[in-house]
Amino acid sequence: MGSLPSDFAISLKARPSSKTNTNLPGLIERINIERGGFQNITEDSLRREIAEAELGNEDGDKNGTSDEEEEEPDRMKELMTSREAMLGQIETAHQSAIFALDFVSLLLSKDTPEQASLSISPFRRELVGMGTLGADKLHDPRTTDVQKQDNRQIAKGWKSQSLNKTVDSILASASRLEKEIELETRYWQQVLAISDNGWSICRLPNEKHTLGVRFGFSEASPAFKSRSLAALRRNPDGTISLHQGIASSEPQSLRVRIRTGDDQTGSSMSPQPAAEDAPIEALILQARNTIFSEELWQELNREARTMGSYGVQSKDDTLICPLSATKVAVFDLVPLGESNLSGPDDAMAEGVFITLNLLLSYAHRQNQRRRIQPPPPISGQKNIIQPYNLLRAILTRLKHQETAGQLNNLLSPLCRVMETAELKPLPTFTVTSTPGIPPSQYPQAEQTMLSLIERLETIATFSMSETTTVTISARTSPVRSTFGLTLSPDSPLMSICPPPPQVLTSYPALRDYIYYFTACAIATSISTIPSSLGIDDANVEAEAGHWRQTPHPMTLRMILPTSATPSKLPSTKQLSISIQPLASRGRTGIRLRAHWEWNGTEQEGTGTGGRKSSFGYPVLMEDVRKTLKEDSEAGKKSKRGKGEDVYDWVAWEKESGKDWDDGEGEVFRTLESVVADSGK
Amino acid sequence: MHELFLSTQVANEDLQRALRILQGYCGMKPVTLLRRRLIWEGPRTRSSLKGIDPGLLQKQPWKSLYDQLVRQSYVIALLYDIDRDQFGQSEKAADEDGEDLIDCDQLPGSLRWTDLPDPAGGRPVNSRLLITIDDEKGLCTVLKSMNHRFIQEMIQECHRFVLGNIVFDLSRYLQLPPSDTEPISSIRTRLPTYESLIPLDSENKWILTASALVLNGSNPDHKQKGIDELMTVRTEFEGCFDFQALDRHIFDTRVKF
Repeated sequence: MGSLPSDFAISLKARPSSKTNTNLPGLIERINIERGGFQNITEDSLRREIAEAELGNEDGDKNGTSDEEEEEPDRMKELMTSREAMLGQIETAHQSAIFALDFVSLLLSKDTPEQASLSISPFRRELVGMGTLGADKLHDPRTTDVQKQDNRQIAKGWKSQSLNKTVDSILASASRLEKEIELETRYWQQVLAISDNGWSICRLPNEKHTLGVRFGFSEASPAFKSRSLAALRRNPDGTISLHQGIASSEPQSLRVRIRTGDDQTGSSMSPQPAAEDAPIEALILQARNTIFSEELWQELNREARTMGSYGVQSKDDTLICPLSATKVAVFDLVPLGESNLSGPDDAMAEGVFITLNLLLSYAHRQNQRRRIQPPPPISGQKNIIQPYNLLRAILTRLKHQETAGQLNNLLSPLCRVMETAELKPLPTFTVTSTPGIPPSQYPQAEQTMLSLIERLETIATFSMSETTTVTISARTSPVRSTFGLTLSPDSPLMSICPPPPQVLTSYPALRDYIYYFTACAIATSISTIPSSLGIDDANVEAEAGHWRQTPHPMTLRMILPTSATPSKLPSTKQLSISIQPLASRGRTGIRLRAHWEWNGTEQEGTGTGGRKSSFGYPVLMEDVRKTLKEDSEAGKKSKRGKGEDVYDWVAWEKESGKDWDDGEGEVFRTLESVVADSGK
Repeated sequence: MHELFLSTQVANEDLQRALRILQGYCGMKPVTLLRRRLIWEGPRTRSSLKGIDPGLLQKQPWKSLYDQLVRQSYVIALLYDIDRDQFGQSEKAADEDGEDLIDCDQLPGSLRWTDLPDPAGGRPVNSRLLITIDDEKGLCTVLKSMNHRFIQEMIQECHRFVLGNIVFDLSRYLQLPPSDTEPISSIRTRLPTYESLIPLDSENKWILTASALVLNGSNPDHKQKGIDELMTVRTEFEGCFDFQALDRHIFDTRVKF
């Protein structure tokens, strides 16, 4: 019954009687159509409607009886209407019968087409075609009522179960969402806290949905920059944890140990590792310190390869670097938390450690300065990055301090010796370190660094008198200090012992010159006659009794007045001043010696035993005493005749002034009295 | 030296944003420069171009410049670095006449000569010959002796960033307002206040140039390296700045008559 013509308003459904089951969906549909929905319906309104309907029916019944008188004239009309209605209904019945016949014929047409073709109407046959409808006999469903009832129960049960499950899952997801929100809020709070403390947070380049913190340094070498990002992941309980990735290592730190000889005398402290549950900031800080230490270790090794000539060696996993003549620094990279022995040089080790850290930061700053400049044009040249100046700077600084100490130790006993000899005028000395002035547009920290490691210079001035001043300017490199000497130009000593024009490269050479110079200065101050005047008979008498200079600047000669001696020959005496270093029982010092003797042929063989005036060779006090003792014992060995003697003034290093506290000071005679004695 | 470059424009409202982006990309704070650009035009003849004073020919950059100037007359720029507080001195020094006058010959300046960029030829960047002579005094007199004429002066305000071999240059050009005291085509001896400078471009746009220098332009490997770096910059800034190789005639510095 595919396509019925549309103007057949046929409903094949039976007219619904009140006996049919009230099926819910149909009822709902009808109510919706009738009233437009359930919103406006309440029990009371329904009751009211029923009451009104009953009233209406009663009214309708009453209205029916009053119309009976008017029925008679209408009977004709009524008859006609009834006739029409009846005809209509007969027509309808006829149609229904034809449809029924067509239907059965069509049904039969499949199985018995000849018989069906007799009874089917041609119109139907054309429209639908033969054999287009089929029918089959089916068994009755065997479900009994009990089963149907069961099925209905089961269906209800399933429905309620599903509803419950839906409700449960919605509740579960709501609570999960809430928990997620809570965890996520906590995570973000922690991330914000980290970011507020200055760490830079960014997305990981590999996993765009994960945040990471950049704990490395932006000026480090590229190998370290790639390792300087750590992921911040959320733990199941909402706390944040740091994941450093595959290349990370355990926390490490650089350790500096100081060795004197074979014993370890000092060590820098390595910090304790942070606990597993430490706040995330502590872990990030530890990671940063570790990567800094690793970079420091790498740069130290790189620099050490170029510093073999300074005695830096790499052994096993350590770097060995001599800091001074006695002390050696040992560097290695150790995991945190190792306990260290402590010793007297701990402060030095700690200082070296801090200095290395500062120097690496300074090197980073220089890197930044370099990369901000416009680059040179692209050419085939590869720019090789020089190793940073880490060990070099430390060695230079230590050498500089050592030099300043050396200068102090040179000049201070010298002045003290002369003080005890009561030389007039009293010599003075100053030692100053002049730091270079860095350009002022650098920030303060850089200026401080520059002044500590660049252009390390010490200037010492030593004045014998106002006109005679020696200026020593010492410049330091990691290996040695070089000394430049200048003498004030209007000094009389300029002609006698001018300073060497070239720069001296060793401390002993400087020391020798200073001693030589001082001795000459003293000798010059004693003598009153310059050596340029020749000795001639006319002056002999006038000159008698005065010391005169000789071509050897440290020696003076005096011609004694003839009245003092019986012989006719003028006799000459020789006075030599010398300054030598002295070493005794672990102390070092200076000895100023005045030695006078007869000069000339009658004084042969004298004075050679007692004079040990080789330059720069420290004279042992024991030797001197021994010689004197021998002299006094032997009496004749040194053949020191009458009018000859030796007198020493001694000053030790690291002694200050004349302290008589321990009662062991020595009383010295003044130079003048000694000189006067020598002239007799 | 060859200069490979790409350019784009940045509106004035976007300046701060552009500075921040470049600051993050290059990892450095911008170096802000203020320069005076003095534009000099070469002689308007086709032949008998004198080139440079032979005395200067001994030094290398002058020699290459001579080779170029002998063939063709160009417009040359002289650059002088100035401080912000050198502006507005005419008001401060109103009472003291004759002092604080800026004589460009006394100051060290740079001479910058650029050629017409090479035709595109498959290269995605602009490429031009460049000669700079830095830190020389007396450049004005030298140019005068070469028959060059002073045309005009501009102030260039520039923020510079560096990353690797690429230099990012965010500049705008400002004109000096007409002055009562000094004639138009002479080099100013006093600078007006900074606020009175007029942008050269009516929309007050900034020009962002990414450039790389190659020492030897005829070496294809070096040039390719520069080009690759510029291309990387271009792809990385896609969506943010649109770096382009502009039509080469925009940068034409030849004197036409």
